[in-house]
Formats: sequence, structure tokens, C-alpha cells
Amino acid sequence: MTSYELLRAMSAADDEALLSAQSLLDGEELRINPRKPMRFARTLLIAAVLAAILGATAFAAGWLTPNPVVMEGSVVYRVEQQADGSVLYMPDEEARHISLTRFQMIPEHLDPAIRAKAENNLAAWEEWCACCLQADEMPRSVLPPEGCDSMSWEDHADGSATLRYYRSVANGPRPDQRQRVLIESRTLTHAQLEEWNEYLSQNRPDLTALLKQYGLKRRGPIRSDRQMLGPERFQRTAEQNGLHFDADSFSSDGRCFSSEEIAARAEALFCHAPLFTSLPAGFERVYWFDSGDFCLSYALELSDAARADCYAYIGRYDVFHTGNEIYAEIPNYSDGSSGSLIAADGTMLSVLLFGENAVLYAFLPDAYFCEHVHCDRALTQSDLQQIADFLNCSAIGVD
Amino acid sequence: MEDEQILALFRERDERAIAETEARYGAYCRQIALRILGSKEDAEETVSDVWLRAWEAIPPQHPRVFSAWLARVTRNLSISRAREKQAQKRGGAFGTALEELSACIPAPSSTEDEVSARALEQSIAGFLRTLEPMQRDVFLARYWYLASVEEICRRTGFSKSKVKSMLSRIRGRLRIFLQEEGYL
Repeated sequence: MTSYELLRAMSAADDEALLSAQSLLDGEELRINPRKPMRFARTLLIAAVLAAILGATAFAAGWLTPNPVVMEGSVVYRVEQQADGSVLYMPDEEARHISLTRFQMIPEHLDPAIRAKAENNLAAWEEWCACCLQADEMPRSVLPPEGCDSMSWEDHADGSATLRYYRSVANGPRPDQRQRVLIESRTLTHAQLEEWNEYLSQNRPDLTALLKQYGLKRRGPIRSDRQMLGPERFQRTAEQNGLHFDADSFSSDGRCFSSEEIAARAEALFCHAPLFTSLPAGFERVYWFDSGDFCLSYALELSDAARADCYAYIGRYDVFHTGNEIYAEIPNYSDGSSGSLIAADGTMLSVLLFGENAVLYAFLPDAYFCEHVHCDRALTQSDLQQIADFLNCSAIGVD
Repeated sequence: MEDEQILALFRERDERAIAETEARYGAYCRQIALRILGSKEDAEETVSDVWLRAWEAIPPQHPRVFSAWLARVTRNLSISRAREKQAQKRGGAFGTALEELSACIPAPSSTEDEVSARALEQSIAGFLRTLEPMQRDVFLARYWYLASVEEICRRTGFSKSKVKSMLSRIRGRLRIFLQEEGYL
């Protein structure tokens, strides 16, 4: 046999294996350039902040660039405790934010029907970004400071208002474990507010027209009655497998829900078959939007009894996701690698692996699935396969 | 136009099938050919041959995954063309890949004529199924698509030494596998 014949014999590789390898080559190049120009991202950041001022439309605090895996321009801050007891919030240039609600790169060979739906949603988002407010045109009095990602607004009796600018800092590994830090407070005079209102009246983008153009519906209000694990169940879960959750895991109406109830709730949202292959070791919560998007936060026990915190977001293609961007913080982004795996139900998941953190995603027939996973030790291929096998992603969507 | 519609044009002997295939998969096939041949002109000619091959083969064939079928035809035609050119001048991605794979094979064997190419293909496909998904992707990226080690590093985020080490281990496994299957 010659090496030529061997090379040629590989042509018989399975179609699925070829597509998987091709998706690796089609994927984003995991290269880091911390000093990449951020003007576009910053513009969007400002647009997001200013939308909060508007109060009428909530922009997403995420960024879609030609390289959309990472939220470019979104700075990760670390808390540094000083000797005098004060704290400093220092930018972490090694870390990145990865959005769970914005699509990752759409694979080249995705089913055309699915691709069309995902691309329509993306096109709407790109157009929305293009018509967002521009930083270099807006009144300087409201221009947010560097590193700001949210703000609040307080009106005063004399017609002035106080703007408070914040940045978000992680206080835990899960995407929802964040705290807001005040970085600047500014009071605007009545005249400055008038100037701002004038600017808005001339530049405010028309979301309603955009949604109509793309045939999308706006993401509805979030359902705040979280289904959380109650303390009784929490204790029982802890006894069974050594896992435990925050002690404040109460549902907002004071009732404790069992894992079975939470699982049933999740499956009733946008699934046509059972979503879980078995009950997770415990739930943190599930929440959902009227428009059909939903989120699962749960934990799994890995084969060596290590705990994996999983936070999955399911975004429908026919919903325009504005506001409440959800993103995972990746401390060691430059160590990342990408790949793919096939879950037990046959769903092919793309994987971004960063040691203790991983992001799994898939373009399902009706929705985009994206899950952040965190473990206290480095995640392995075997862990990721177990995590992928746990969910029946093929159940997501409606027939 | 979707794959099924393009395939329908082929079956109806409608020449628009070629144009639609070119529009949808032209860049994809050119990329595969270019990796193997290293020459735009050669890649262009090969892709033209691919369209001709598709026209001749469909029907009666009905590819299950059209993109994979085209990729396979492109690869085979490119390898044949590369082999012809290699006789004139060694080198390029194709030559390098062949040299690396030759480590799995002790020497040109007198038994090669006895080996059924089809059986070998099936064995290789079986071997690939034994690999972890990431291993398989990297191996196929290198030896199916003939991507360079550097490109694989950029796509995976792995270091060069890690990719080389991974490929070396898989080649070692492949060698053992081929021995066990009786090919070596």
C-alpha cells in the first residue's frame, strides 16, 4: 500500500465527519488582539446605554461584529482589594465576554431552511445596530464614561435629572452572577435634557418598522416568577450528591418547587418532547419570556462527582432579542479551543472550550441553543459529552 | 437554491444545475482543490471537472449530503491531478501530507495490488469512527482537507506542538489499526 492510496481511501469518511471537520475549518479563528479598534463596539455600547435612558426600547448590550463569538469592546473587570480597604476595578485583558443570546457564527453547511431563519434574525440585528445612535453625534452631556454598561436615571422636581453610570462585575462563575458598580454620577440641567430630547426626536430608530420588515416579534417581558429550588429540596439534593446551591433559592411567590416541577415547566415552554434525559442534580432556576425564549440554570454531577453549572439560553429565530443580554465571562480566553460533538439525541453541538469554562451551541430548526458550562476543574471531552447528552436539544421547538 | 432543488435540476438534465451548483458550492470546492493543488489555475480546472463529473453522475446517483459528495469528488480529482503534477515536481501541501502519512506504511508493498481499495476505504471510515470528535476533526482537517498545521492551530486555538502531537498519536493508532486489519 502507498501513502497515496491511504490518502485516497480517506475519501470514504462519513458525511457527518466531513461536515464536522469542515465546520472546524469554517469556524472563527481563535486569535486575540486586545488592542483591536473598538469604535464600532463602543458605538453599540453607547447605544445600549442610551436606550436605557429612553425607557421605551431596550437595546441589547451585546455586539455583533464580523467575528461574533466574542463581545468585542466589552471589558471584563477584576476586583482588586487595596491595602487601605478600598477596591479597584481593573480591566482584565485576558478575559472576554461571550454572549449566549447573540448567535455565534452560522456554520457554512447549515440546513438552508434553518440558515435562512437565523440569517434573517441576524440581518435584522445588523440593521438595528446600523441605525443605533452614534456616539460622535450625540450631546456630550450624556456620553457615558469608559467601561459603562448600564445606567439609571432619576428625575428631580426642578426639571434636572441625575444619571448614574455603572459597570457590571462578575461575583460568581454563572452568567447571572454579576453585581453593578457605580462609576460615575452626573446631573443634567433642564436645558441639557431638552437638548437630549431634541436629539432623540430626530435620531431615534424605529424598532416597530424594523420588526415588520423582517417578520419578527419583539422579545416579550421576562417572567419574573422564577422557579427556584426551595430549601427543603436543596437540603435533600445536597445529601444525595454533595452538591449544593445558594441558600436564597426561593421562588418569588414563596413556594418551593421540586426539580420535577421545574423540569416540567421548562419542557412546557417551547418543546415538543421531553427536554431532559433525567433530572439534573439540582436547578437554580428557569425563566422565560412571553415570546417563547427561555433559560435554564441547573447543575449536573460529572462522572468524578465534580459539579458542572450549566446555564442555557434558547432564543427563537422569529424573536428579535433586544435587552437583557446574557453573557458568560471567560477568564482565559486565549487558551480556548473549538470543536464539535454529537449529543445522544443526534444534535450536533459546536463547542468552545476554555479550561474550566465551555460554551456549547447549536442552530436548531426553530431556535438557537447556547449553553455556558462552568466547573471548578478543567472540563474534559468526556465531561462535555455527558453534558451534551443530558439535554434532548432536538425536543426544542414546535412541530 | 436549496440542494434538493439543484439535484432536481440535475435529474431533469437542466443545465442551470451547473450554474446553481457553482453559485452555492463554487467557493467551497475551490478551497478544497486549492489546498491540495496550491495553484489557483489548477484548482479552477479541477472544479470545472467536478461540475462535469456531477453532470455525468447525477442521475443515477442521488447524493445524501450534496456538499459532502461534491467535496469528495473535488478531493479525489484534486488528488489525481496533484499526483500527476507530483511526478514532475514534489512539494506543496499534498506532498507534505503524503510524507507524513508514509510513516504509517513501511515501504511500497508488493501486496498493494491485492488490497481492495473499497475494503480499505471502509476500514478507514471505521477507524475514523473510533476517534474522539475533536481528534477526528483535526485528523480530517489535516489529511482530508489538507489544511496546514498552522491553520488548524488558528482554528482550534491549540498550540502547534499540541496539533502535531495529536496527529502523530493518531497516525500511530492508524498504523496499528492497519496492521490489525491486515493491510500492513
